Amino acid sequence: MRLTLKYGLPFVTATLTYRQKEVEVSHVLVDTGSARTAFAADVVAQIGLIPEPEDTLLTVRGVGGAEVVFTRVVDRVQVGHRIVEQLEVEIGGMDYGFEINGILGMDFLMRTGTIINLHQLQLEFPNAEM
Amino acid sequence: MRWPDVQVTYPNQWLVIEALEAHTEGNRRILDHITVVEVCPDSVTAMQTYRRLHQQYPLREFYFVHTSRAHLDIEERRWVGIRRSDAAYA
Repeated sequence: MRLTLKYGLPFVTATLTYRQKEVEVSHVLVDTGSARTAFAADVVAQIGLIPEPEDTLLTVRGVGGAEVVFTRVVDRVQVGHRIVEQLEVEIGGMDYGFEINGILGMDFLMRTGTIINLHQLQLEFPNAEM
Repeated sequence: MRWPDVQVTYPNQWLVIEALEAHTEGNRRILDHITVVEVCPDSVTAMQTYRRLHQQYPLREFYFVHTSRAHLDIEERRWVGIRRSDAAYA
């Protein structure tokens, strides 16, 4: 799965499935500095993933302030041929001032044993389940 | 107001609230003093309103919530964020 460099950072495209509806998400940042995977609210709203009253709310605090997000377990997140099912992802505004629709975090990367090959600018997925 | 007061005043509503006073206990964010900024017809409007206010006033602490939830139960997570180069392409 090819990595595209933008702003000096590695991006991929992922496919998100929620309640059997699918959406392709471009400009997903591969981020080993994020424990969790996240997607932009505007993108997931297209497949009916919107906030619900009982959702878990998180405030993500760091450099530059804090952002409020909610979490949801999605059917699957797919990158290339690799699929992770029933992943709890964070949904936020992602209003960072540049084009980013998602963050692929260590939850996905560790579960799949993803190899981040910066020499050939690609993600590789070994066959064995971790 | 505290959360139970907000719930009684605005039953079964999507709101954007602001924490005038708040603190962190472990990995939980506790809101000590809340005001209601906006009453919203649905969750999408509430989140969009939250995003607009957050961008306009980044140092203030807003949340989008539904008053049917028994407890706010806001979890706090730390994230260093994204440090990018200014060029659109590396």
